[in-house]
Amino acid sequence: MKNKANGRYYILIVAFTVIFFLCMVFCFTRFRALSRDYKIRSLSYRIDTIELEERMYGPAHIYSSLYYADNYEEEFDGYWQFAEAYLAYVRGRYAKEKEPYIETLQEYLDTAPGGERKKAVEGYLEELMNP
Amino acid sequence: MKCTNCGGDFASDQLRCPYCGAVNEHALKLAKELQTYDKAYEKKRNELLESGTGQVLKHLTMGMGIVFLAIICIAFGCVAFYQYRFSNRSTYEVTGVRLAKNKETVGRYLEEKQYIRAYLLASATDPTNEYFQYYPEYKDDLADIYTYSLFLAGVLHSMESMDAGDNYAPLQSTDVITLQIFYGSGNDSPIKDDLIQEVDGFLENYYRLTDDEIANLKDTGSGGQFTLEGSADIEGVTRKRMEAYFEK
Repeated sequence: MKNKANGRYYILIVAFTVIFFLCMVFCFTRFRALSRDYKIRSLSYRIDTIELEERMYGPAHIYSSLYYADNYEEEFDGYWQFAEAYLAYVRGRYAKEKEPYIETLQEYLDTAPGGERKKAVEGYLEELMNP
Repeated sequence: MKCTNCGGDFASDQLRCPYCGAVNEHALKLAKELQTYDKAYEKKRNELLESGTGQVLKHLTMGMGIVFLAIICIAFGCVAFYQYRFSNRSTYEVTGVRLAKNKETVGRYLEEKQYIRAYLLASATDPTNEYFQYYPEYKDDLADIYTYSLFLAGVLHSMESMDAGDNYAPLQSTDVITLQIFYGSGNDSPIKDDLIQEVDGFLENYYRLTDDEIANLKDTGSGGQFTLEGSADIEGVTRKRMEAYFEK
């Protein structure tokens, strides 16, 4: 007499294996997506990115980098100080009354540590003072 | 034994007499019985084998089921925990003590007039994604800063385009819709006043709109039809004005 229950066990084993691998694939892809997302949002990654973008595109790109990557943390204070000066320049470029914007740029230059950003703001200041 | 036919001696398990060839009935009977036993043995052996395999398969199936289920539960648990703890705008990150600290920081940024930074902080840490329901005290101001930031992005893009020597990027129809939402938000606060002053400055000095036209834009309200020089082609009119002004 042939034991018919054995066939059912084979089917169950195959079904369990298939379901197991499908679940593992789902978990792996979901975990990988979450990991990538978390990595992109991590502070260290965003700091590296903004440093790279500043080197590649120059200080004028800093505001966009801050805005589009949601870089609001205090680790970006230096960048935000420059961004405020940059936005003052943008606002002052075509303003009739340039004095408040010139003051903002001057305040930045008084405390700026130097480097490319300071040079850029010096250029902005010169442009506002000699339109 | 002796042959019943010729009386010759031969071994009892021989089927035929080696002298006369007569059939040994006793040996034949034994052979038939042995054959029957062999068949029964084979049948029993197969039954036992089938039954044993079934037992092994049964335990293997149950074992695999339990192990797989345990691994699946652990894997889904890990993913669920990771989702709760590390996903974007996870409640873990933006509620309780962290929310209180974020609110304090948003308030500080607004006081320091770092409006866009305050908006970015609130936007990134609000699970409702830009509706600022977790920041009810700053909700109206943050919504205005958001629309202002969209307009400012357009201005920056336009200035970049102009600096690069491309065509003048004029006031877009989408910018007008953004401004109608911005002006018509109904918020009345010092922050909104600051933003309005800046937006008015860009419209007047950069996009070359007159005071009356800006007042008209404010009055049209959200969804209203705004025209310049009697035309709905805002882009065309502002481009012409910018070209005329900046090429002087």
